[in-house]
Amino acid sequence: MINSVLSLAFNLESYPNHLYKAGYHISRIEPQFNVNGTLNPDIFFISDERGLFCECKSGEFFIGNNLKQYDKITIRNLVEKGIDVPKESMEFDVAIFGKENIESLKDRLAEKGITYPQVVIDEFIQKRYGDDFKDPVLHKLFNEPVKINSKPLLILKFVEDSSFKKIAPFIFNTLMARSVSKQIAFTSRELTEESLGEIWDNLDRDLQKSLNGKVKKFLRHCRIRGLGEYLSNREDIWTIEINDRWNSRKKFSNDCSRLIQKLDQKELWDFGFEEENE
Amino acid sequence: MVTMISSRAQLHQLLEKTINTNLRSMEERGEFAEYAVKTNIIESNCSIEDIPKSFGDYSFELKPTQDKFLYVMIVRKGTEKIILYLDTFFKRFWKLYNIEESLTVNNFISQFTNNLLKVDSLWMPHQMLNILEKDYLNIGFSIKFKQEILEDEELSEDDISQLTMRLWSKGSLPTKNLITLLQEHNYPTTKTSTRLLNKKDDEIKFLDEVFYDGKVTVTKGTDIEEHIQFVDNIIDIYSEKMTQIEDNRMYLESSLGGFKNNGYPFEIKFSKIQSIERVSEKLINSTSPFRLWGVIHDKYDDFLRIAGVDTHTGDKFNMDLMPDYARVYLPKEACGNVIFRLYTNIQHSLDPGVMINDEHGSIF
Repeated sequence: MINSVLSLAFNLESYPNHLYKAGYHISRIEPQFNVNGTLNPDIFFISDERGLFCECKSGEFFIGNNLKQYDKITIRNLVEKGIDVPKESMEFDVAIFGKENIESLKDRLAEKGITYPQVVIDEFIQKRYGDDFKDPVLHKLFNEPVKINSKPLLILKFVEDSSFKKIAPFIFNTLMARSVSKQIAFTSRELTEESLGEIWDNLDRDLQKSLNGKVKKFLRHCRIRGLGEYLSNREDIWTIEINDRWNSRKKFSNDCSRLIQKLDQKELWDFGFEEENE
Repeated sequence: MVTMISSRAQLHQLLEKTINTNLRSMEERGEFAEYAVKTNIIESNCSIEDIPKSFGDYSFELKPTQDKFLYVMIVRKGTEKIILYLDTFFKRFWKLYNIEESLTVNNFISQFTNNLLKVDSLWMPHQMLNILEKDYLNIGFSIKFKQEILEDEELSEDDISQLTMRLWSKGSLPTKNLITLLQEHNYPTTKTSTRLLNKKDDEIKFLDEVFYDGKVTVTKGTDIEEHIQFVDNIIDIYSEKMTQIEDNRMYLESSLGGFKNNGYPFEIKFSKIQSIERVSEKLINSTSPFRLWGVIHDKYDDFLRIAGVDTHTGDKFNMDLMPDYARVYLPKEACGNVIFRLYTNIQHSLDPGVMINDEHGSIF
């Protein structure tokens, strides 16, 4: 859902560009503002005159604390977070984005007296419930349903609790990148960091440690279940060896795809189980 | 021809002498006396010291000259020996001058740019060749399109599976007229080379043929410096596009208040609906010319995502593939030449009418 909303700020033909058209760009993803308590919107967009806080909701019941705190936010909070403020006074909109869950969520929001605009992004994108946007351009753009013909961009590749099915392709392309660059020996921590990319530094140390542990187990799983001819290890020093010939690389790709398919429904503790029974 | 030089001035003299000899010989006997002067532009993402001195069937040694950037490159393959002159003045784009047999040099360049990591040829889409034509008389071109992704039975009655064409003319009118004719009938106009005449005060400075892969052949000429300046202009144009592309590399940056997004995806717009299965199969099977590897994930009927690697550089990339669009995400530090390679080869082997956009519209 976060990617669906972020993608609206890009001038694409293959996806709606409402926020780009209205002059907004992505200011911060998952920022935290101190407003006598923590306000943690999913996304903050900014234009030359206005700001837009977005809450991306995938559930039908959970509302959270954020939505009660937006009236406390001021320009000062943006300045404190190092956000460039375009003008002295700014008007802020808050929008709640969801899919079909909005149909149930709207009643829960109404019960709590929350009336921010509620936008459905599904087959169509449209503001369906709640108040109008204060920004007249957003009001106009979100008023009519617009068909969505494709999937959103892949901007945030993972979140903290992403499944291994989501992370696996990026582990595999990191393995191939290392093989091509002849950097064939690595630790599981190096591989985790490279696969997760930019979000790695923002994760707290415990989470980094836990993800590293999961990747280590996943590597063992790969070695046992299909990638044994390429992957080997001595303790936590791993080696990836894929022949440079195109057909060997293609075979590695096919083997990775098979492994991804088998990850359907697989839970992380399965990897732990295999390790214990090795 | 094996000629050693020890300075840039000597190189210029050697090349100018060769083009003058060839010009006279053409006028007198209708054929070249020496092999033509050629320059290959090479895209490099490494320093000259990083290149292994033997690869594939070849080995080479580099002899420095009085010029800090200029080397004599002695290439050996078995008993065969050729000499090239490597100019590394532009760090990102090297120039390889030579007056050797074309096929021999082509074979070497092909292995040099295919076998070595971080060394590539240029990949100029036809729009870029068109830009080069603006300041000169355009007196010919080559067009090459070969449908390499779809099978014959997948093509409609109106589709073209192959078109190869070569036009040489005295003036520019036939060239313009033929291109207009092709465009009017919706035939591919994906030029793979263009012939450009540079005339000043009725004197021919050069007649050069520029190929999409960065090879520039002096067919006729009197002034080697004009040719060198022209090659440098090609580098400037390519380099400017490279900067534009690499400025769009997309990454998240951790900042005080959450993540900041940098960059933009490239949106490739096909001129007709494509089979995403067939296209992905060809794009990411690690073979030439695309040389991309990938794993498919997030697969739906009309959408799939690829986590890929450019096997030419070891850089990662991501791609979304749809029947009418593709999106390519280039991460921080990735080499932008992959976008040139991808786009140009889609033009040559899948869809001559394909377009590529960034935030501000068409890139080429």
